[in-house]
Amino acid sequence: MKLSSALHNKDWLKPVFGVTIIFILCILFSPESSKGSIIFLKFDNLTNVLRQVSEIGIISIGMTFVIIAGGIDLSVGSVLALSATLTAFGIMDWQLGFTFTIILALFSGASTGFINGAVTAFGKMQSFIATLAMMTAARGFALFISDNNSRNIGFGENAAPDSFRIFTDSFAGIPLPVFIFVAVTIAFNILLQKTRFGRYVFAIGSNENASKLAGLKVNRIRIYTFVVAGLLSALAGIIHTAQLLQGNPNDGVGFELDAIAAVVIGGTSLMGGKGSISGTFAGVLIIGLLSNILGLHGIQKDFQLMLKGVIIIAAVFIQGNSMNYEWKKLFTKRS
Amino acid sequence: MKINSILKSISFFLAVFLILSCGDKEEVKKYVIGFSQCNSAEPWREAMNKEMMKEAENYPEIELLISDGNQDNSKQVADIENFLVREIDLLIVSPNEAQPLTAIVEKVYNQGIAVIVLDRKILSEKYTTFIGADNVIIGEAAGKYAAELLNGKGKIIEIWGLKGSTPAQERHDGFIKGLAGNPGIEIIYEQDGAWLRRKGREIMENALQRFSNIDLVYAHNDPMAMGAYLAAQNAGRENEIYFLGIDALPGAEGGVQAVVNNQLEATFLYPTGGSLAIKTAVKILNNQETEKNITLETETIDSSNAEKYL
Repeated sequence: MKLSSALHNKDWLKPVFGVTIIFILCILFSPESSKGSIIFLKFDNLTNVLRQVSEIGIISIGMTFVIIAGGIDLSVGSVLALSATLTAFGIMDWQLGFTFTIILALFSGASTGFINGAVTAFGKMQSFIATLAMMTAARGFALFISDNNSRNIGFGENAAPDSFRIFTDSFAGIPLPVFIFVAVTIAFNILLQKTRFGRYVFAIGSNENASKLAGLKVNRIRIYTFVVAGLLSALAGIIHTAQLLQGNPNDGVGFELDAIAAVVIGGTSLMGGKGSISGTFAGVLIIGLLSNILGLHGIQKDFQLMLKGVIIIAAVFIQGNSMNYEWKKLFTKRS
Repeated sequence: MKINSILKSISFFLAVFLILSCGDKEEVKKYVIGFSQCNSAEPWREAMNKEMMKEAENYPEIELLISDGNQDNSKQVADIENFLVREIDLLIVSPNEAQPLTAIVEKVYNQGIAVIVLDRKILSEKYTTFIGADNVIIGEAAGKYAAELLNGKGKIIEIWGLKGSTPAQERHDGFIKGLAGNPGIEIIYEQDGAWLRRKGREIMENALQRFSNIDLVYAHNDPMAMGAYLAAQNAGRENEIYFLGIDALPGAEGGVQAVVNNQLEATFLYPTGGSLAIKTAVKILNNQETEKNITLETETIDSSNAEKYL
């Protein structure tokens, strides 16, 4: 009973609880190596999982801000592609060096985010439409810059500076992208939970009109949420380029859907006003662990896709108070 | 209520994982081979998977794992990382793109695991064996066949695979090489069909409008050749034109069937190398010597021998 009341009071505990369950099940059903050890628990495998989810994870953190404020951002995958392309060209063709290339890539993310937000807020347009337009436009721009080709990154003379290798380095056996993901999670958790800005994001998400009447600068706050999403997508784009040593304008297709799934599994409501970064972190891990264990078992794509669909519905259903409520209402009415 | 729903959720996930573990009860095989396919959605690559699975059944001591990279470099890198933690004995990889896959393939090779690279190369010499077909030779075979068919005189339409892609360029270069020494033959129209049947049809429709006299269509793959055939059929001109394709996939939708149906004059086999890859893998696992580069032979398939390849 104590567990249940704890789960009831603290929304963020539920997704954490979910990750724990999945983690235990992964251990139980892990394939065994020839020596009888549990493959899933190998250090290499666990760091693989974290590294593989770090890009989607960072994007999902930004997406959480937008969704809590009552919006949606479909452009994240294209912004990642744009940032990845700019990174590769900045460092290889334009010889901007490490720092300026990264500033340029992040700036591209922040500006696309700003445009998304401004069109939504001042253009009185639904964010679904505004970011759908950005999704195609940003991809088009990435293709334009790159002349429809991917750009490979090489090292040595007239190529990428060695400092760029830092993104592929490991510290204490853990790759840098994992540290970046964790740092972003902690920093933006503080921003959302402990600052005035964070509280405003919740406020405009749960009731925009009331927030307006209370004197909040609703438009400005909304724009900031999109800037956060754009900025983090661009950061993910830089990591993406460094991981593959290639900036590809065609990458990141469908990332928006993965990010939205992770956010929703983490207990954030698509209606806005409710959600948490820790929940999203857990949602990202749930998806990552599932694809890992399915991959280790060599489960084919058809079954993986069907299972993922089921998992998304089940995860949201299990932790959704509101949904329970709807069901109860439905049944009491009938009886 | 709450406890109840938690129990429900636990039992649900348990059920899911039980289903998962069902297929996993086979006896432990001696060798595990991981095959990282870049994209199973293409018919030619699906044929490669099937060929490999069929060949693997001949060797009870090996277990074959196949992963699908969904045409996504990151996904394919993750697939290979999964193979590494599964402690595979040999990796077969058909890379989506060379550069992004090079580092991980090198990592596998450096751990002392043998690597067979299939169809597309990587930017490194750190692999055990490369198996692939030579598109220039295939294009050349098509060119020679066309020259013979036309008796050294005629007008040709060429429908390209995706321009800028290596196989398309090589199938073109080979074709020109095969036509050499026949000044009476000219290519009057060439367009990028991006490997797609739909595009092949559109290009041929335009060509039929523009040219009253077409003798032969050379398409860089069978689906585009079939698209072109359909366009000619609609215009009632399919009997005055020869159609040549490449790939020669088996199955109802494949190019071999189209040759049997007298739609395509001929198609040129672009072998997937699936079964040879497994045979080579077994050789390597048994410590036998293999060549570093193996080039697969092409085969001309026309009405004389098509039945055999169905």
